[in-house]
Amino acid sequence: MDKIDKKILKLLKENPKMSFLEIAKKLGISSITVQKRYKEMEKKDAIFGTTVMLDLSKIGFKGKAFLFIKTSKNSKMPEMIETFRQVPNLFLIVEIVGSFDLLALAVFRDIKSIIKIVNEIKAVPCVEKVEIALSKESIYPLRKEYTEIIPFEEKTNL
Amino acid sequence: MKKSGLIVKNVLKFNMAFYDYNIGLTIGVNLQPYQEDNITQFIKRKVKVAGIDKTIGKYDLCLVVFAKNINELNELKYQLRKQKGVKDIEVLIWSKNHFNFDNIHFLKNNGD
Repeated sequence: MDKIDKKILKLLKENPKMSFLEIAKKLGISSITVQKRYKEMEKKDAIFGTTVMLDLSKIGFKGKAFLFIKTSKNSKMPEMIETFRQVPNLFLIVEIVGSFDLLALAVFRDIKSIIKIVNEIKAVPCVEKVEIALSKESIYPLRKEYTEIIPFEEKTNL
Repeated sequence: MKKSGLIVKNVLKFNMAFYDYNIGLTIGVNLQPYQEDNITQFIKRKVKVAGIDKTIGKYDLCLVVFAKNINELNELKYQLRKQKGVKDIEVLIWSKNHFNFDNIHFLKNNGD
């Protein structure tokens, strides 16, 4: 990754919808060069394309929960992950090393729905314990070390 | 959807590992009473974290951190632990992520 690649990323970070032609004009290079470099960065896994950032509070979600899950020794992780994938509104499952085996993140509309999610997880065979932390507020400090490469927002509702 | 505020903005997705941030982790922090705002401010200013969630339950704060190596992770851990008002911390290192964003039910179902 050279200076031109970084300049392309910087422009796309500011405006992911900017066309290759606009980028080319700003950097004084051809749009074909921009396209080639973008594809190469994707190929090397430096970037995973673009996505949209959602504010789920606008459609009724009231909170986010961290679920810390301990499983039994004879648990089969791939099967468990597949089962967790079916639990509604569980949007991220992370295999972890530490005092728990899995961390799952869920969004919920009300207390009733988070209780339902926890109960569904507890019902999965080999789940020994589920502990929960409900998020009151999410803050993403705009640290230079990260914001040079990733577009975190200062604050979101979920 | 943009007008309603549901879509906040378009973002470019970066691969942290490509930029040498090889270790992703969640740090659970338990605090002395009434220390949440002080410690949050301290973390925002002084500690290299990507996300802070003020939480109720197992931990008082859940931090999302990316570190380049174990030394950086250790430094971060001690920086947090020595801070007045921090009771204890737990480090949970990510070994594999499974994204499941398609599973968010945008329309309200029974009990969701």
